[in-house]
Amino acid sequence: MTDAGNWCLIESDPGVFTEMLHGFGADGLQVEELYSLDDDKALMKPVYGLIFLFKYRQGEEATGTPSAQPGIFFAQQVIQNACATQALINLIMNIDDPDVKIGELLTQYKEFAADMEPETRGMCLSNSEEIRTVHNSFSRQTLFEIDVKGGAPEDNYHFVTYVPIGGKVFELDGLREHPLEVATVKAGGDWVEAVRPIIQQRMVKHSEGEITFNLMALVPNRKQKYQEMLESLLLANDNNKNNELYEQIADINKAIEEEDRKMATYRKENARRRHNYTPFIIQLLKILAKEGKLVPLVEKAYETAKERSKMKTDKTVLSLKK
Amino acid sequence: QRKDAAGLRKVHIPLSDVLSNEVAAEAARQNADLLVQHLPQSDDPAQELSETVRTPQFRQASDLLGHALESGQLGQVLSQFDMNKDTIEGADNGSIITFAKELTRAEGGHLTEDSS
Repeated sequence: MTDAGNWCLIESDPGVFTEMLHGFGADGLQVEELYSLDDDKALMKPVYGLIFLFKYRQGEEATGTPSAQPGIFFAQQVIQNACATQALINLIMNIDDPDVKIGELLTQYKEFAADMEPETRGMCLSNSEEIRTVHNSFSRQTLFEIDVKGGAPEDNYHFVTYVPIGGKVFELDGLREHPLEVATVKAGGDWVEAVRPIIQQRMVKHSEGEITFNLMALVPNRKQKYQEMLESLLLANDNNKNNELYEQIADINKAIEEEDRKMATYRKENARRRHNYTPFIIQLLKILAKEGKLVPLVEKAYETAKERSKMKTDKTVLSLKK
Repeated sequence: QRKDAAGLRKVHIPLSDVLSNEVAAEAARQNADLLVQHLPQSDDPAQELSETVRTPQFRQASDLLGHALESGQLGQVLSQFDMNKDTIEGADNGSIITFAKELTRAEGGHLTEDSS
């Protein structure tokens, strides 16, 4: 893998991914976090794809069959920090729905990279200044760069994408050379059903090892869908306005409000992600110092830390005895 | 014994533990005029201020700063924030406790006998 250079590390979060979609100029999409695959509320149909994130371990076995089927857009991952963005883009490139507009930037990249090998596509993606700018707009601002010695090394997270293409489900893993065919969708069936056992198995495996993972779904923009529902509902019942209709309208409006609230929360959290807190922290330290509260707070934190390190030691002793 | 700077340094004190609590939150609310300019962009700064010390982003930033402090690399940064020589030296020493005491002296805060 080449130097991570100037791709920042970003957080795996539906708010970040959803805003990133806007940054790319894609329209009609959003990303929802799933806590299970039975999470019907988050899984607004059609589900365009799933992104699975986990802590990477060397030598993890592949579960599917390498595929050379044409018509799959797959870019290999050449830069570590870009992997979230690459997973998202690999997914978007394979959406086949006239309701989704992927935007000028990604259309250009798609056309440019269409005839390339997966590795070259990855290189081309990591060299795209426009895409990198959107990715880096989520970077954490700090006033300083330091070497943190003894701090936990940055965990190696890895993203894989599951996407339905032509009756099959493929796993796109940027660290592999080919897409993997992992499931076949029954005629008229739901692709999420087809891939469910594979993802569930993965989730179980990672929970057993207490390995952090999360699962996100790329779904239609829900507010837009609700608004369409509202319009067609009103149109269909133009001459027949009854209580049932009013109730349905109220429900949809409530759902729209909920989406608005969610997006407002995303905006708030993303502003915090981008914010440089150093001046705030320093000012707060000064305030606490002036009020004579800083030293007691530090001492209290020290006691807690001491307790914590003692507990850790006890645990180690116990496990050694076993 | 526990005031021995060398002894203290063995235990890592997360700066988020120092700052992400009700005492700090209350001090922040009482000093809104000094802090509001340093908040992230927000439609409701008063609300944002009261939430700040508990947000994961603030905690993360605090811990990063705390790590820098404990590794003795923060002095340079602090000199940009109008801190006196003793405080900066306290920070260079890599002990949050020493730094906290020097900062308290510099700001004219009250140091209890126990912690002087």
